Amino acid sequence: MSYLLRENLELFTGPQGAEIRCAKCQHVFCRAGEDWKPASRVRLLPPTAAGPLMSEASGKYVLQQNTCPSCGVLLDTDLIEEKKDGKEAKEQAPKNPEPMRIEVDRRTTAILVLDLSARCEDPKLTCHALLPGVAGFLEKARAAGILVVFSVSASQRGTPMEKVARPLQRRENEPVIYPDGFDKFTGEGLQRILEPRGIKTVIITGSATNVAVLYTATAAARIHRYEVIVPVDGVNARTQYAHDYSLYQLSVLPGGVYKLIHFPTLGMIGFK
Amino acid sequence: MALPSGSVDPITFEILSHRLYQIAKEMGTTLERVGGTVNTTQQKDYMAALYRADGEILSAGESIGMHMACGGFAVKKILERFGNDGVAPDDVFLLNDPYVAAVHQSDLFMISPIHYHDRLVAWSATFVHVMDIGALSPGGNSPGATEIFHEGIRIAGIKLIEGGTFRKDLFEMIINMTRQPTMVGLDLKCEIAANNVAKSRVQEMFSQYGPELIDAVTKKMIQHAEDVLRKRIAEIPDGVWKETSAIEADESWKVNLVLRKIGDRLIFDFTGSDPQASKGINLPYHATFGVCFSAVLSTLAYDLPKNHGIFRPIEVIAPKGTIVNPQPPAPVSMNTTSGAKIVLYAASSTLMQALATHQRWKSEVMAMTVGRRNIRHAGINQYGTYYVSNLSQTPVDGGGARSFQDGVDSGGGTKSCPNVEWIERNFPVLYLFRRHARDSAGAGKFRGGVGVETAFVINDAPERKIKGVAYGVVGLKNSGQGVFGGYPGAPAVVELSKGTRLRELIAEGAALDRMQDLGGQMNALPYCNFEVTENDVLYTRQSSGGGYGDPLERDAEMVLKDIVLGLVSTEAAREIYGVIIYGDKIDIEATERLRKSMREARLGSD
Repeated sequence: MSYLLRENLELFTGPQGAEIRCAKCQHVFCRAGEDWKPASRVRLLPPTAAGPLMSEASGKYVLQQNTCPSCGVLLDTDLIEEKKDGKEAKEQAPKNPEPMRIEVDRRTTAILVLDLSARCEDPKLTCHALLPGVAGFLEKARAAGILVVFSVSASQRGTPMEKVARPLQRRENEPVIYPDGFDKFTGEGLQRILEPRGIKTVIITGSATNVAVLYTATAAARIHRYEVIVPVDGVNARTQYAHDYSLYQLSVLPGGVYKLIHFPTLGMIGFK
Repeated sequence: MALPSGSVDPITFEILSHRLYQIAKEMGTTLERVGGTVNTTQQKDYMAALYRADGEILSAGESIGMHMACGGFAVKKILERFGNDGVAPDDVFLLNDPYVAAVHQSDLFMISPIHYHDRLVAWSATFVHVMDIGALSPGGNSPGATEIFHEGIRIAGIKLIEGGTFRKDLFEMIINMTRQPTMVGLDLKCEIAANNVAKSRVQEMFSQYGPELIDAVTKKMIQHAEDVLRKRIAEIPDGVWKETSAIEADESWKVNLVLRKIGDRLIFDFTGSDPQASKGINLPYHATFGVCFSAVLSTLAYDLPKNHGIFRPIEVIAPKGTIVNPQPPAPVSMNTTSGAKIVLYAASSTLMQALATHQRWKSEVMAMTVGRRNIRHAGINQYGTYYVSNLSQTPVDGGGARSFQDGVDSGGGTKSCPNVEWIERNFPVLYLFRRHARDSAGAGKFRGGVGVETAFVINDAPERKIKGVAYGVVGLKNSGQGVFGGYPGAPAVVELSKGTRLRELIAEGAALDRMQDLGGQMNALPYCNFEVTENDVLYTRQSSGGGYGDPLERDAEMVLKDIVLGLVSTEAAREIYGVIIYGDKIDIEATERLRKSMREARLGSD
């Protein structure tokens, strides 16, 4: 005999006595009268998982979801305060690499602009803050004849978000790739652009430091053996901690890979 | 209304109780017809109700519950202050002291005794929210006020009309202490008119039916509402439910609530709430009681007559010196849209938790909405005259989702939204848009109601600027929490974008419907005074309702319908609801695959 307690949870009385179970798949959570939540699967998501207009809650709240561990039906969603772990960790975070001036060869260098698509035109998104600085840097680089390649997330292809953010003023001849991975070398489209042009150095800008930038820079240096330049003010992340730690991570990659990665500011990059 | 048993003939009971309700409604109509400000004539920011001779609520029209309760406190305070002998036929009393019975000074109660053959038999009472009260900030809601003495005129109860004689000296003194004497005067007179209408209608009833019958009917009306409500409360298992709600501005304040249900009583206990603030968010005790009354009225008693019977099963514990029972001189001017709203959130949330424990009542559980932001504006209008008014869009927040249906779009509020053309005609303001905010509703099997977003600029302002005041509930925590897996709705915001390309874009004939196209630096406004100048754009979005249940269980056809209506984007349809749409068609197989993979991702197999 079962009695619906609430959406997707029921009280069932069977041979084992009264139990609380999932109304979808009959997975048993606990005995009647006990708290079912500890027996659920918990996920923490950014507030924007509930929609783009929740961005104001980012950095302060997270979305906590409790689901049935058997069938995945969602039982509870709460906006809860983000734990202070990030802050505490930041206090102990290793020091960032010191930005250093660098000069690159305009004939063998390419600029990769990661995931600064039309969505970044929304001033509420973190990546929006990058647009003025990166746009100015691209103008300077174009004047020096440097190749610019844009990536846009594969999930945005076929949507209005597939375009490059307008403030970056992409030129017709500047390629856009849609790799299905955090590492933008995924699918080899990027290598097919860079290799024939004899590129030896890539300058990686865009969003986010702890996702696309981290994985693309790592692959560029470790697998493809490019000299990699990550301008510290040409990339960003949702939290300062995530940004700082990702730069630190790139600066300590083992096997000597870290030696291939450099951290100037946009203004410290010169072209020869 | 179900027929009560007793000595009163049930048909007569029905006729008289409905007649009293219609009188209260007619009072509201009178306020709207005679008043002059947008608050009174368009937004229903008023209260109109009848009270028994001892101050018990007798019948209310379409009034705000909190004020209905406070009106009863106001009548009792007038009786205490003046005594039975000091209340004469054709007196009219004025009261707006928040430490007596009002909520904040801008809400001016006008209270008229109703006599029949020289015996006090009832009261008619109204309030309207006047456009100015002589506080620090134009309009009354004053972010800079740290004491009630900064918040305008404060009257504990005076006779504005004494034995039928209008006290012009007092009237002029009061209106001349405001920035809008003409409009405040008109509002005071519309209250007198509404009270007079009620008085004449009630006296007609007494003449027609006699005082004994009317007394028996009104007692029975109240007893009937109380009996039904107590029976409903008793059906719910005894228990304890908790909620914390908060305001998060430069400082933050929290309200702690424990609801105890014992037998047929509801005890709202606010012990543990924060100490009173030096900002005007504090809610006096009678208003805290009124908010709890309002929450009960709209959950367990929405189909019952609005009278004192709903009041009796409720107890409220609020420690002195806290934001829910402040002591003088704590400021209160912004409380109706801040302190009152977080108390309402906490009270409604605990009641919803209680309802969810009972088979009959669980289908009444709905998700929440609370966060609202308001704006007042003042300056010289296009006709060269000083004005103070409001740009309140608060009535167009989205309602919470229900167990059987989506929340109401742009209809979660208790008031009405002002007419755009009326605002533009009277004030130096131009709307760029007012529309439903796409992707704002809390997702769920049933989604929350969609809130409205609005953008304004100044237009034809002789001084090339106007003043503004931002208030309301600041914070994210209580904006449209979902239930049973439903997602939260987007919060309410007020933002000012400075230095936009507005004039340039107008000259180019460009569309002005996307904030990101306008350029400029967007700043979120907490509680503050601000200025809107020529290239500024003022943006406000009201909160949207929380969702109900798992978004992956939402009918894909309903998602498609929302896309067609512009309420949900195709991206959100895919990423939140797991629905793949091409053009105007659902890809059913792809949707099933995506939803399956999204459920698997929840289990950690991604």
